[in-house]
Amino acid sequence: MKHLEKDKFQPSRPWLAPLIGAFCGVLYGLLDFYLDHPGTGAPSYIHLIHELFDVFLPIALGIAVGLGINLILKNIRFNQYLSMKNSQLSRSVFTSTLISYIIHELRNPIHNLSAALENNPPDLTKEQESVVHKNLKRLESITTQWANLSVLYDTINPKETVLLKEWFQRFFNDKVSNQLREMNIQYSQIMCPAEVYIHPTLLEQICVTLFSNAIQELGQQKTNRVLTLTIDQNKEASEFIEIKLTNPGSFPDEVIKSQGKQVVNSRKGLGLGLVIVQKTLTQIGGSLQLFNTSDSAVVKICIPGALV
Amino acid sequence: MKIAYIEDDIDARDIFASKFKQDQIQCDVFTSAEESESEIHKGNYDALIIDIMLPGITGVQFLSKLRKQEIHIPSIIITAFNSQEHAKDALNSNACYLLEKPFSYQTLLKIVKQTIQTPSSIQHCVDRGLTQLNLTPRESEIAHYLLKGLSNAELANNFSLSEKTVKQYITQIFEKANVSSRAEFFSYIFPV
Repeated sequence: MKHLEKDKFQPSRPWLAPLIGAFCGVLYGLLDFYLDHPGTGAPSYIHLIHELFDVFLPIALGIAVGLGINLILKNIRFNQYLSMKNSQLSRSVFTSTLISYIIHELRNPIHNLSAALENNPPDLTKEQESVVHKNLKRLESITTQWANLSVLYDTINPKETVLLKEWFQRFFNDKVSNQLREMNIQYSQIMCPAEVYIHPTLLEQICVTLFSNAIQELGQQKTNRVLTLTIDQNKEASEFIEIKLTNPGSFPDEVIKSQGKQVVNSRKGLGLGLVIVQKTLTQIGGSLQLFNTSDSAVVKICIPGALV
Repeated sequence: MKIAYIEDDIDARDIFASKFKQDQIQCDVFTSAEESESEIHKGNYDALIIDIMLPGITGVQFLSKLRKQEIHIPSIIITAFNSQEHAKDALNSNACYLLEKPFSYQTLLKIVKQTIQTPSSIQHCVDRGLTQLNLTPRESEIAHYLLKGLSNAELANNFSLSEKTVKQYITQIFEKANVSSRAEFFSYIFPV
């Protein structure tokens, strides 16, 4: 990237104005010398002009000096602004290159995982299993690999306070409502006013996965496409807010039994999306639970928070 | 169908290569551009799948190099980057398709078939068609000029041969292609 150069903004002949000023000064000096010399016999109007110059020139000189100082200050400020812009641009180029590389580092293992798990095979071969484990490790190592760079940036507080009602309204309008309409799913929500301590980006990732899974599941049902969201304080531990997503149907027994294990195959346990959700929630002190009631499948997540 | 898959991240590459084999597609795998360079010649593959980020020269640089060597095999560039810069580079190096990771085998297969069915260059049609016939260098030269529409007399003049020898060469070429006329030979090289 070509940086802005201050030379471009500087006047092309900075010596011209002082030179003209000096020339005028010499002319005035000569006039002064001519009038002060006895016997020159200068006409009276020349004397009048000379007197006028004597009055106005110091004033003009003062104004010129003032303007000059002002111009110099302006130039300094402008140079500071340019140098600040330059460093901002360099930083933004560096950041976007860095983000591009991090995405590259993330996408490769995800690509390998999706290749190994494509078509959701009921049993993984040894090779597939080794690919899965190797690439999950690669994903995990990315955090440590790039952690040192965090000092360059403002740190994100993973336990930022989010007001759930407002946040959900926005999230629902942006990400969910269209999908529900397309799939003809009836949606209802029961929401207690609460705040949770999680970064909004993490919460969004979690909710996107939960809603996508539920919508995908409901899309396979011909009737009874109903989805319910409930937000309330956790009965067992009041320092947690629980978010429950309920839809008709049931989880396979293998999925219920495999919770807590890192199994990335949605027929035998948690799919990759839910493994990531579980991991994220564990890191902020929350939890993920999947269970069946008499007629529904329920995904319950607990996030540290409080009623407001 | 024969393709080359050049990718240093071997996990997905090997899985997809074995799936290609199951679908009766010969897939040769390479880890770097340098490794594949000696194996890729005019028309000896139907398509190339090249990752952008390769050790040594990048996929885009490699593709540009192939194009400079007059190798016009249709190519699919794959990448884990999501920048416009890479898309632009891929386009400028005459790639047929830019595919972003992660992608499924079915998507890749569909794009490979699509790329082969609608070849991006006539030159590749000629190169691929003639390579598949296993012609001798002389036959290959004559076949090239035959496809330019030269008559037997012109061919004889061009190669300083007698018309009879030219006819013999043409008969051998037609036999290898299992055709009996120039029109059929054209149709063999440029299938509709």
